[in-house]
Amino acid sequence: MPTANRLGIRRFLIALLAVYAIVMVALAVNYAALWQAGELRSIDDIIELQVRDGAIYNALSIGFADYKYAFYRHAVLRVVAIGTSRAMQIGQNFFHAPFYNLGGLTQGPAQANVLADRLLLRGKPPEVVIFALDFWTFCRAPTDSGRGRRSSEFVHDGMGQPPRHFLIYRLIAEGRFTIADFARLLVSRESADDVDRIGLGARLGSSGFAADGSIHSAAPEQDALEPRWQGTFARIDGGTDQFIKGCTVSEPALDALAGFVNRMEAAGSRVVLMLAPLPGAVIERMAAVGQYGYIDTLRNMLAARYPQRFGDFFDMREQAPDSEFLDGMHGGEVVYMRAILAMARRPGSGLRDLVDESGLAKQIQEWSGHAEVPTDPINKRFFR
Amino acid sequence: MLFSSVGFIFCFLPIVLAMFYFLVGRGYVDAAKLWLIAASIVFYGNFIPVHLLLLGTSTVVNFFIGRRLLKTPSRAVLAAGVVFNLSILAVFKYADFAVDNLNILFGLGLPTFGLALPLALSFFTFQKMAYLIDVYREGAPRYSFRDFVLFVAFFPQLIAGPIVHHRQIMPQIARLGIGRDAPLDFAVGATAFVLGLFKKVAIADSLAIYSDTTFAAASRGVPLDLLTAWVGVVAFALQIYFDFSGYSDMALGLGRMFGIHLPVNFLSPYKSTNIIEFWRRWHITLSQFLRNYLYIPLGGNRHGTFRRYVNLWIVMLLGGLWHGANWTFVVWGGLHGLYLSVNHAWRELNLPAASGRGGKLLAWIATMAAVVLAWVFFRASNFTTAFAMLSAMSGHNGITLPSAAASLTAAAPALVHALDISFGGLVYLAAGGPFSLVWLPVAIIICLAAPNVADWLSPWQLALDQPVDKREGEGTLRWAPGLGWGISIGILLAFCVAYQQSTIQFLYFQF
Repeated sequence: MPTANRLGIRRFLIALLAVYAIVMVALAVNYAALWQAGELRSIDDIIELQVRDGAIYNALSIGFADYKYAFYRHAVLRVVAIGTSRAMQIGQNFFHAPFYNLGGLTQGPAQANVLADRLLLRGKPPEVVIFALDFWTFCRAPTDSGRGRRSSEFVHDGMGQPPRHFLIYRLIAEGRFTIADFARLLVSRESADDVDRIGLGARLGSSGFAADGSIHSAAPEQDALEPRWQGTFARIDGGTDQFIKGCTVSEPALDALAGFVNRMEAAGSRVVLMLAPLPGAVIERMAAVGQYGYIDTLRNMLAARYPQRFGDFFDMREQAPDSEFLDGMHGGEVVYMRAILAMARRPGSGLRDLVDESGLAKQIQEWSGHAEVPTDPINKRFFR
Repeated sequence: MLFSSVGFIFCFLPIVLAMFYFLVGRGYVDAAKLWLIAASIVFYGNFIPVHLLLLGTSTVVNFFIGRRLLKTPSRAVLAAGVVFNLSILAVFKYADFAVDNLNILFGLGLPTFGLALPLALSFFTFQKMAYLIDVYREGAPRYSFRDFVLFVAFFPQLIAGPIVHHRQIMPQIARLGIGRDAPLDFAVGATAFVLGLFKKVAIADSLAIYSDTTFAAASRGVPLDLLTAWVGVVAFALQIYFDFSGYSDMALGLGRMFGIHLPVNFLSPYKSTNIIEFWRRWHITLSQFLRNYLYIPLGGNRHGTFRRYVNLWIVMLLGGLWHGANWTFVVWGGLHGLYLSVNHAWRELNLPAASGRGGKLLAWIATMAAVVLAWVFFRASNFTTAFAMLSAMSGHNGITLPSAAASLTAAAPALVHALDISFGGLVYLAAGGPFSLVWLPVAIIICLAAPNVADWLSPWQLALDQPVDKREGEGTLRWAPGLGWGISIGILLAFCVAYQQSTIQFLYFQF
């Protein structure tokens, strides 16, 4: 073994231990902030608090799917909503029957089957499953040979779980929160036991999930409508993300949907399908740009295949003004109230007797033209 | 508590090290040993506390059987000791497997025991059996109970090896803290630990997304295309190497921090150009155990060629079963038994050895193809999944290329049709995101071009009995204690901590 240079060893150790100490302090600050925000609570603990005190949850370091799965298993429910974030506005206050919103866990029909395998068909299935469909999940892109497997086959873990050890620094670097936000959090008199808001997203951010799985936003509604659509317009013009141009209707996606419906119904669940809405401004932009003809084909196909179960709310210009939309992709609470009420009132509807029809009608009348209902107990308590 | 967890690195380890250095520095060597035993108990108990009872019982019983054998080397006592150890393995690891097979064979409907597999059971059971056999065969010094407990429970090697031999470790425990260069031990040990951490956290865990998603898809009956299947299997081959060798490097580094040299477990196995060489480089301490305590007692190569091959097969089949109570592991072992037999036969028939660049390249490709093929059975949870993966790897479900290659359709339509090529839909390859995909070529380059950690640190004798590398000081990237390497290793540690998605268990913990 070579003779060790004492000075070299000393320098090595000082340098290594200095970096180690810096990392240790950084970790300590990070975990103090996470603890203060309630991010270090167990999911069971969070569920207990939400059920007991009605807290809003939006932790950024806990797997979103883990959280929603656990809550679903905890609840005894009759109605469930599934879909992307465009299903998240449906809440317990729409129904008489116990309800939970699994929105955000399924990016299309194939993933709905995965959700069925992992959750819905394990144990007693819910009486009714409301599936909010997104048009782009039925897009077969012009570049797709048709044989390729879709991403939806293997995961549906929604937002995933970001690395936790340096999370607050990452959030600062991304501009989501400021150093001042975290400093405030760390010195806040509200402790981790303050259960009104659990998680960084709820404590420092502008949204969170209620105990029914529905999302609530603290951000005030924008008065001007145009800024709400700008991001979506850019995607339409660029033909990117959900707005790929020149698609045809994907048969595998339709098959996956049929599979999901058949499996759920065979297990005793009724499936209600609704094509989730877009604001009129966005629909008009899409029409102006063109090459989205597959959506009309899809609407016709779904209506023909599922005459009883399918509700087409893609275009609600005649029922809901654009001011009821949160942004270019997401309808607000009132839009979804309109859709669910319309579905419930259809003859032979699977939602009949489960929906609070008079309550919804009253809310719609009162808050028509607004994206959210400020008197909603959750909104009122936490964000208004 | 995993080596790669923040709790271990920033809480458990500094406390244990600080107290150990304090005690040794003050000359309280016995107290330092007791402190390490206590730390090891906390470390192991942190997983499933009740399993401490099994570890403790096994340690006490083996110690006293060893004492008895030292006094009078009795075959009956040795047999009792071996039966005791094998019984523990049989009950906790193989009982449910046996019941399942009996139920399938005879339709008995027997209930399974459902016992949780105690962590490191196979490792510490083998270690103690080796001790008893050695004591019976050739005697051993009379170790104190305290030193014996530290030998079996020393936390750096407790969970997943290296499988240490009492003759390697006991003398070091006896001299613990005496005449050691603690700052150098710490510097070398910390370097190996951080490099192992990087292999585990950055490379192995990043590759897991490909192997996990592809094997999971195959298990669900999703027809994978050729490229996806191969990437999934190659990713697993790299994942298990970086996971296990990363763990071993961390174990070596930790041992060295306490002044104990552990034996090397990996020497760049994927550089091997034949299977015999592969097994001299892969999980070396297990190979040595199987050779010394199974292959040689079976007769080794002393009873003719046929018996030699039979012995090889028995050893590899049992080696496969050692990894887990599943027929897929047995097939994995059987395949390696076959490979080794072919390799030995090749040599005995004096068939040409790989020579020249081209020949060595061919030999390497053949070796890696065989190894990767066997990994399919090792990774798959059942034969249906394994055969689905093999079918996909053979191109049975066609070939899918990235959409960017779609122009090939116009350029060579006949080829596209003949090979059943489609475009797009490589969703499993996008599963980890574009950044994650970078680790696949990085891992391959490190495997093939970089020295392994033990070699790299060989001038400083990281591993036990490793020959000192005479090329000390050659090359700009050779490690030597100094400011630059201190900062670099520190930054690598910070990167690993920041990069860690979550603390993912080491693959070999299940064995």
